[in-house]
Amino acid sequence: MSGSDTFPLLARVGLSRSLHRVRLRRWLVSAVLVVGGFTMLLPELWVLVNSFEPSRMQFTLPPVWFTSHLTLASYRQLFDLIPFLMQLANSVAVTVAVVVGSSVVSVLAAYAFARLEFWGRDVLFVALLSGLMLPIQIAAIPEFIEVKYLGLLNSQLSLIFPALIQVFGIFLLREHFKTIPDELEEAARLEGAGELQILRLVVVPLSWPAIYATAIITAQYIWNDFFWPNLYITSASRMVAPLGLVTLQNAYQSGPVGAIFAGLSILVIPVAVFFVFVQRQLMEGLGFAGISR
Amino acid sequence: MDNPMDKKVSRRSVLGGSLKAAAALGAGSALFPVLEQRATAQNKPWSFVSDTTSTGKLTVAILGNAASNTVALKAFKAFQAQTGIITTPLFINVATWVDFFEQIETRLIAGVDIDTMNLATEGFRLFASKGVLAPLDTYIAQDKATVNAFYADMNQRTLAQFRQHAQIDGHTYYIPWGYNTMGIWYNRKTFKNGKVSEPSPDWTWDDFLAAATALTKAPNNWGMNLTIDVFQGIEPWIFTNGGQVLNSAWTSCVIDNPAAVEACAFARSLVAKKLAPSPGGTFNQFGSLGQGNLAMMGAGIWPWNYYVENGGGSDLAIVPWPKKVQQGSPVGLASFPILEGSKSKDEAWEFVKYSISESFQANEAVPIEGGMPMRISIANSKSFLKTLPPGAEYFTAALEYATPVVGVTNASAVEGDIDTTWQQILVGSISPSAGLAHLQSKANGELNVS
Amino acid sequence: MGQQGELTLPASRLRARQSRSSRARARRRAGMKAYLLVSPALVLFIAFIAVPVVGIVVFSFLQWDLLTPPKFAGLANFRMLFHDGELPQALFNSLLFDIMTTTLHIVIGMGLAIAVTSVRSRVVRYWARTAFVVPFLMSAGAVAVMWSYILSGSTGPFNYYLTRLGMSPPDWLASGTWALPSLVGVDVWQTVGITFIIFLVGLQTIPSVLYEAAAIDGVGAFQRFHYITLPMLSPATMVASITAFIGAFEIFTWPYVITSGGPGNATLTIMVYIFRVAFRNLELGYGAAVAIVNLLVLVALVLFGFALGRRWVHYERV
Repeated sequence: MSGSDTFPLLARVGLSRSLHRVRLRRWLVSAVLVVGGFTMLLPELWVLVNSFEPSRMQFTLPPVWFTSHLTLASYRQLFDLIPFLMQLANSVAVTVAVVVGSSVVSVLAAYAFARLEFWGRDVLFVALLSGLMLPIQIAAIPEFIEVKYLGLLNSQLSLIFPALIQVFGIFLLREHFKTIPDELEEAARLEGAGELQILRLVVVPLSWPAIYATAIITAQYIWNDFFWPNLYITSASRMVAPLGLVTLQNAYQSGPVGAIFAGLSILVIPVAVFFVFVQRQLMEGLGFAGISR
Repeated sequence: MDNPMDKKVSRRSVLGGSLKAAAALGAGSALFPVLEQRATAQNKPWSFVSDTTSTGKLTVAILGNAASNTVALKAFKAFQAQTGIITTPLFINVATWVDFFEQIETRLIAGVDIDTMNLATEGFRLFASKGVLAPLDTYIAQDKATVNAFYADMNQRTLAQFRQHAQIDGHTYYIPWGYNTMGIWYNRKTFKNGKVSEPSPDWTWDDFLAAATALTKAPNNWGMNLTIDVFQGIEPWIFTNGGQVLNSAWTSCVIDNPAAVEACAFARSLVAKKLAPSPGGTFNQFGSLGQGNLAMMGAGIWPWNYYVENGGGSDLAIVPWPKKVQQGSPVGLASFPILEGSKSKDEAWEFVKYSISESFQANEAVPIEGGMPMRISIANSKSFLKTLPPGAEYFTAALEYATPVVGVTNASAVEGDIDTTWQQILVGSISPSAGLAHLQSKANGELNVS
Repeated sequence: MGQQGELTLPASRLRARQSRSSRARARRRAGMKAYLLVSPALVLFIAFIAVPVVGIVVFSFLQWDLLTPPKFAGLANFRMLFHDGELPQALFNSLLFDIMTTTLHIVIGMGLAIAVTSVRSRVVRYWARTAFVVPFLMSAGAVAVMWSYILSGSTGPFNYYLTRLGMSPPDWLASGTWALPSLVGVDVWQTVGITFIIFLVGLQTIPSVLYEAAAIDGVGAFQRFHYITLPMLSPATMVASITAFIGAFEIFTWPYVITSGGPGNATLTIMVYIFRVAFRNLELGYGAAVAIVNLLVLVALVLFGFALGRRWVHYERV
């Protein structure tokens, strides 16, 4: 007897009271989720509202949520005090460069690990896996020295090159590449295709969701990162935007609150809006990629 | 079924693809320096901030803050006009001297050329021990007359302290062009509206407490603000109660004395009674004082740049720190040393001479770094005092009783410990007596390490 | 050879390929190509992961402040480890932060996922998936700055509203007892979204047949959770826990930006401590020694976690 047939039966049999309880519980849960979600977003809302207020109303108690005196003064102050536009460009450029670069690196390596046989393959892969569990900040000291002697200190490149190796991406893509049926590859080989062609014409087209998922995970990781920019970058015009805001806050005991709120709003709101629209594809990609952080 | 293999891949197309990628990468990496150039060429306060494009002969690192940078820029232009030496200021915006030193160290490590910089008493021994300061003896001998005339125009007590603490193995590493002592800034309008009479120059802790209590009104109006650091935070209270932080030879920490404990307890009571906001948070004291939400704050002359730039200074005045046992204040000397790695030492010496010249002292001392000019003739002149809020003359008067601020070799560790303990006391995590006892033993451990 | 450099093979060559020696040759050629494909990743790995890790060991025998040449220090750094009063505190803080944040992640993430799947309305589900995940899209530096204003003791809105509700809240970031939990709160706020998603995906893999069978047997909601949901989610729980655990042990941004390790070392985590020793006090050698301790402790904890996991995680396939 299939389970799905029993529910209407049970309902008709008069378990309406427990269903009532279930419905009530679901309603409560919904309410909690709605209110909870709203509370989660409240901090950003507060920052956003404050960023448009004149300075005498900002960061005061009680907080001013509604006012007719809206102004862009804080935004103007932000761009006066730090080269924020340049910093935003740096953030975007670094993220894009790392995503594109590491995707290429990961795809090439994952393909070799997944579908080719070569001497030392498994040993190398296990060695690579060690990088997966290791939070690389532990090795910050020697890495700093390396970057210094490569002449990359205080350059955006210092944030890009070390980040091109994303072991997680190699791991994920290898898992996925292994699932590609051998017949397709053999067909391609019979036609005379070399490795790069197989990669480009067979493997990659079948793997876009996994590649997108890796790209999104990498993008979030780089965008979110504070440690490495803080360590390597000292010039304001080379900083990524969040680091610029942190240094603005540290400025001589009088961190200009309005400008900081403006910067925070610029960093948060467009990304949040973007996310609302691409949520479904993101979920699919992540679900496809399986469990990940 | 569309066989993807029908699309043949030619070697040329693979080559073409990689060329396109390389071109994109090249364009991208060429684009950013151009963008940077354009960004720094704009006439904004953070422009001219350049450890990326060193265009001039001289690079001067300044502990600035976002608000005061424009004011300091004008001063640099004056030096350039006078001497013809193209100078690139490098503004480093941090909250404390310790952070500033770290930033300098980081840049030196990264290979940035810095010729001279703000040096405060707090950091002198730290930098000297790392060998980054060049001795000035030969330059001083060259321009003996100028330097001696300057020394003669200094407060002689300060000169004696300078000779005691600022020379290592008989070498001189800096000439102090300016100084800061502590006073209380207050908003006259707030006092008037609160019907409290303005403080007199010899007011006491009790007078201060009465004023703060009368002028505090939750949730937005505070009587006083306390900062977590050695110079502005803990030392004025200790010194006005007759206490000490280090012994006079700076070889050991003696902060665990009853006067200091009492001073810390008094400061703690201000926070406990909610007359001052909880320290260490995000409180814009300059802005609040200007707007009248804060009645009093402790500082040297440096906030003046903020008010020149942002307004709000017209209602402000300055008085000496309230006394309990005696008048007291820390004093910190400001100078421009010459860095050992500098490739423009002669030009840097010109800058040093400029900093002790009368025109700099009168016109640029306060704007460039927020320090009072060392020359008594200038500091006491009416024309100079007219540019500052009423009461600035008390800063100069404080030189007669001020104690040099702590400036030992491992400043980061020792100052950090003092700051941490002070904050814990103010917040109530630890009692003043326990906190200072612990601090003394810890600091002594670190002093012996140095 | 085909015309114009196209890579096609004539049939005769194809047949030749099938001979034994040619197959071996082909495998070797594949070997070469394979090495070429793997080389970028390998070079980068060696340069930026392997070499630095080896570097920590090398550096721990040196004394170097980067402004003067390095000096050989023998075992001095390791001996200093035993006299260091702050190191045990840093490790303890890291562990405490870690346990608190991982537990909250699992509890809240799982709770949210179950709540969301039990709700019928698509709107509510979409709202929950958006609202709880948006913080994850913010950059950590920005989040840190934002919360340092909100949690500000006397001047921030959070305490203001708590006081209005009649409570007398502590000064979160300046209090020795509350500073670390406050950072846990910030961390969970920002990152619970992703744990939520992980569990959401995990829940979807549980065959509904199990629940329907349970309903027929009259099994209550709590027992359904205990006997079906929890075990079936255990792989996801394992993965989420381990990744959260490793990341949280090395947490840097919150203690560095919001509280600077204070008040009085209450939020000094191991990574902040290493940073302070190496890049603030410029004792690179000693910093490397501390980093080794950090690594060993982390490895021990992770192995312990795996051991626990082996006992508790179900990999049953239904």
